[in-house]
Amino acid sequence: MKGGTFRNTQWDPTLLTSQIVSMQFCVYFTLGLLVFVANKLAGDNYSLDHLFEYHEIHIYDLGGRLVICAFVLNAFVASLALWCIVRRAKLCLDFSCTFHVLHLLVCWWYNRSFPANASWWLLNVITATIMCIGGEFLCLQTEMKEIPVGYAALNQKSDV
Amino acid sequence: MYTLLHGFYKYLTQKDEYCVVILGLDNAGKTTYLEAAKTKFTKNYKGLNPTKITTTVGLNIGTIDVLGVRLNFWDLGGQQELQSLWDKYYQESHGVIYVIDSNDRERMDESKIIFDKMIKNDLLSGVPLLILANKQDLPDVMGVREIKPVFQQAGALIGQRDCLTIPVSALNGEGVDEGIKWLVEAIKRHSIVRPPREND
Repeated sequence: MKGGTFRNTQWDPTLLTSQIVSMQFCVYFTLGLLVFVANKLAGDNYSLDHLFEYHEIHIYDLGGRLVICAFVLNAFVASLALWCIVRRAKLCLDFSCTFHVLHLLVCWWYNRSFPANASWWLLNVITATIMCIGGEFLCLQTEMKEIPVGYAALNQKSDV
Repeated sequence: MYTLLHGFYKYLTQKDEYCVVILGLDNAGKTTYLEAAKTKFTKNYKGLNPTKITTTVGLNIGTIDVLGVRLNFWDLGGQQELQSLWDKYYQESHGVIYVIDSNDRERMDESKIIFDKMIKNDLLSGVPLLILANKQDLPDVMGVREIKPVFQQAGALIGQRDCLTIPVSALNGEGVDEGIKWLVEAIKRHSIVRPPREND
């Protein structure tokens, strides 16, 4: 296990902003890849609309269903990103919500209207939950590991 | 985003923290003074009943926010055996309050000896000093005019520092306000030499 360095200051704005930015980029990147694959499978032509347009989130045809699957899968991949970038279970909810708020702002700008589709909201709530819980699960796994004290004799039973 | 904004808010509203040590003979009224200060400067503070205040073993800690700074008080026990603990606190202190029982004429010399010993310490050089002639509510007590010359003999030892002697009554709360406010100003002036406590 590499030598751990705990955060050295209580509040580090540079670290936090860079984490938010890199989270946004990474998760959008993976989302783009997954939606591309979904579009290929459905035979649709790929465009940014699938990522950001509200009316693209529907279950009427195969293309729409595959896009929804891509979003959900992306939530799992995003929890991996949370684990790698954030590494703290306590902050997973915060970062997950930040990502989705920023996604809401981008969609709002893209569509020029506030989202009113129930399907869009439902999908985003579900992905936020998956991302948060997945991230917390992974981070807890790392955080709960034994801390190596470095003295092997402590672990050995000695005959008294 | 929440962590970012919350941390930013806390950063904007943070205050300097200073530590003040309250010294004096046992039964001088240090703990009562601390309670009076807390009552005066904290909103909705239910002060401890003065009759319930017993001799301090160890120390009492209090915190007040005044004039835009946070003061941490260390009210140390004054008994003979506990006086050896005093110097452990000097390095971290930004101000000293020395409380004298104005009613106790017999022990005035004892108080003076301890005061000299305290003020000689290098770790307290330049630190603002507030001398309080306590228990002014009692009849026939020594006033500041009688006490001040006794302690001014240590003038050379007091040296170059902000020093003020005022009469107070910890039970009534008279004089508590001005004393603390003067001390805060003196500590702020001295903060170039002894900066506020670093909170990491």
